[in-house]
Parts: sequence; C-alpha cells; structure tokens
Amino acid sequence: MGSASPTAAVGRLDLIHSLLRAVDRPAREALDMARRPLAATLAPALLGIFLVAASSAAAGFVSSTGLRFIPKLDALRAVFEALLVVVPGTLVFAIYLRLRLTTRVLLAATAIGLLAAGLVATCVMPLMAFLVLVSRDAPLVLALPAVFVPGLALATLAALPVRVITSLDSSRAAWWMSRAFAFFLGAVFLLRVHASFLSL
Amino acid sequence: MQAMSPTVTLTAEPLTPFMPWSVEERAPLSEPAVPAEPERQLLVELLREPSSIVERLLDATRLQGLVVGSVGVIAVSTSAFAATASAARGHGEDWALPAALASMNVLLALAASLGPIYAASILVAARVPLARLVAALLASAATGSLLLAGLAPPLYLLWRLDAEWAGPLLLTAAFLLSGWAAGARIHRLLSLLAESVTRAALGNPTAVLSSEDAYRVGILARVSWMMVAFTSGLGFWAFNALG
Repeated sequence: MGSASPTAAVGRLDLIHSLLRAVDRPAREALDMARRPLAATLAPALLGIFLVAASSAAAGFVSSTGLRFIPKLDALRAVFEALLVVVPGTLVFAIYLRLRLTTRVLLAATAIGLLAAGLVATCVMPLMAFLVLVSRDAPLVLALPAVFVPGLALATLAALPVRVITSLDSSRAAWWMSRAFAFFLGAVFLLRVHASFLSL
Repeated sequence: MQAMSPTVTLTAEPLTPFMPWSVEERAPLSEPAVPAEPERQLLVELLREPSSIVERLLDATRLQGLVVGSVGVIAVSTSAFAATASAARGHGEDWALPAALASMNVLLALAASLGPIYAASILVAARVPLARLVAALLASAATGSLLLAGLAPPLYLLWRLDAEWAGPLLLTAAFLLSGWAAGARIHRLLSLLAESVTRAALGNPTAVLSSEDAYRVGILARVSWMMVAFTSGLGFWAFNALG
C-alpha cells in the first residue's frame, strides 16, 4: 500500500504474518513464548489491550440517542476487571490441579487471547459503523455496540486460552478448568454490566 | 499432499487448513518445559508436588527451609485474603488489623493443635518425629492458604456486587475449599512420608504400606485435619479476625 520499496512491503507483510501466526496456532505459540523472555509475552498482550480499548472506546461513543461526546466505558472496564479477577485464581488452581501447563504458558495463552480479542474487536468495527448509519431510528440497536464490542472481545479472550489448555492437556481436570475459566470471565463481566442491560 | 497423508498424526490443536502447515507443526504438542533444576520453587511444589515436599521433609538440610518458607507463605497468603475481605466489606481504613490477626490466628491454631496431634500419633502407634510433623502440618496449611489467596479477587468482586448472598457464600466456600485441600494434602503428605520411610528402611523401592499401617496413618491424618480445623475455626471466632 504505497510503500517506498517492494522489500519494505514484504517486511511489513512478514510482521503481520508473524502476528497472525500466533492467533492461528495458539497452543504451539504459547509454548514458544513460555521459553522466550517475558517481553515476548507482553508485546502481543499490549497490542491486544490497545486494540480492544480503542475499538471499545470508539463503540462507546454510540448511544441510543445518537453519538455522544464522552464514551461509555463501563463494559471495557468490566472486561479488564474480569481478567484481573479470574487470571490469578486460574494460575493457582491450574498448578494445584497438576495440569500440564506452567504459569508462563497460561500467561502466554492469555496474551494471545488478548491479541485475538483485539483483532476480533477491530474486525467488527465496520459493522458497527454500518449499524449506526442504517439504524438511526432504532434506539435498541444503537445501544448495542457499547456492550457488544467489549463483550465479543471478552468471549474471544475466553475462547483462546480454553483452546490452549485443552490442546495441551486432554485430561478431565483440564476440561473443567478451561470451562470454569471461560464461565467465570463471562459471569464477572455480566455481573458488572447487567445494570446497563436493564437501562436499554 | 504428503502433509495430509493419513499417517500424519493430527495435533490436538485445531489449525486453519488454508495455511501451509508443515508436518512438524502438525506433530503432537510437547509438554511445556517444567523447570528441571533441582531447586524448584517452593510455591509450585506446595501447590502441586506432594512427593517433592516429602523429599524436603526427609532431607534434614532442607527441612528448615521448608518450615520457614511455609510460615512465610501462610502469613502472606492469609493476610492478603483477610485484607481483601475487609476491604471488600468497605472498612478500607483498618485492613491491616484483620490481615495481622488472620495470619497470626492460623499460626497460633497450628501451634495449639500440634500437641494433641502428636499425642494422637503416639496413641494410634504411628508416631511421627516432631520436626517432620511440624513441617508437614505447615506445608499442608500453606497449600490451603495459597488456594485461599487465589480466591481473594473473586471474593472482593462478589462482595462488592452482592453483600447479602454472593459475598458471604463465596467466603464460606473459600474456607471450605481451602480446608478440604489442606486436609487432603496432610493425608497425602503423611502417607507418602510413611511409605518412603518404610521403603528406605526395607531397602525395597516398591514396598507399599500394609493396610493396617495405611489405616493408622489415615486416622492420624483425619485427627490432625480435625484438630487444625477446630482450633483455627475457634481462633477466627475468638479473635474476630474477619470482623
């Protein structure tokens, strides 16, 4: 896209490709990340946090009465609260239940989950813009993006570690552990945002 | 086409079929590299490796480290849990007192129940050397308090959301779970300890405890679990550690 030289474009493509590779094969990439320094785990996590926050904030500008000037960030806050509440307990119980995982692998899986959540949240932004354009007179639809975009990000964030945990360990304990991880992320999120559903 | 041949083992991980994955990338996932160095972290061992805790119990040079480490883990984890619980209930300014009281209460309860447990071990003809009994009790209590600390963030959130039902229920469930885990762990530690001492004494690395021995070790484990549960429960009530 308008790059100075073809090699630069190829280099850029490689960078994007290597990022998408982490999303394509999360379990293997989590194992690799666990062996590399902590910065390799932090980088995708930070990129994902940025993407999730940016798209949720952009969606927060939309409200049932049209666009507002101060974005609604309740749901975004609930996403990060859910993460902070559930991940430490998951680490402790994953070690206690003797899953074939280390702390670093679980952290790397969460980081890849954040990256995937950022990508998914970015991917639905055009649809949200389209909805804002076509449903000017439908307040129920217009109230959707502020909750839907962070909620979708959280669902992705839950799904990727579930895949990694069950890929690395096929035991029954791992199955329950991964489902509990996803369930509690969703439960905490819903408990935080159910008030905004009531006010739809 | 070679990569898709039926002899290739599919991974447990679903991969997009639109990318050219090599045979290596389709191979089954390897086990994550568990730290192989002999000195693994005490925290991880307390949580998942009762057998390496027993190795520490049997090694006189590492016994002291286990005792000090377990006391530290108990103090930090129970304090963190009590501080979170009192912060959740909205007395934010005096979280230091519950934190100090809760960890002191658990350590005092362990100290108070030690004598009766030792007496019980003499009575059922399963006497454990005192130093190893102390270390095993502390290690199992440390496991329980680590689980307690892991449940502190959900407790904070649930109590903030619903102080009538969800918060108190989770508080009770956290103590029940941690007590159950500590009880299971003391049973496992005592059985493994008895088994490895018997194996070393007989010079037979595959020897197992006789059913009478295992029965008496089980009684001792249940008595110690019951004593610690009784004294620490009494302590939480008497000190009013959680307010």
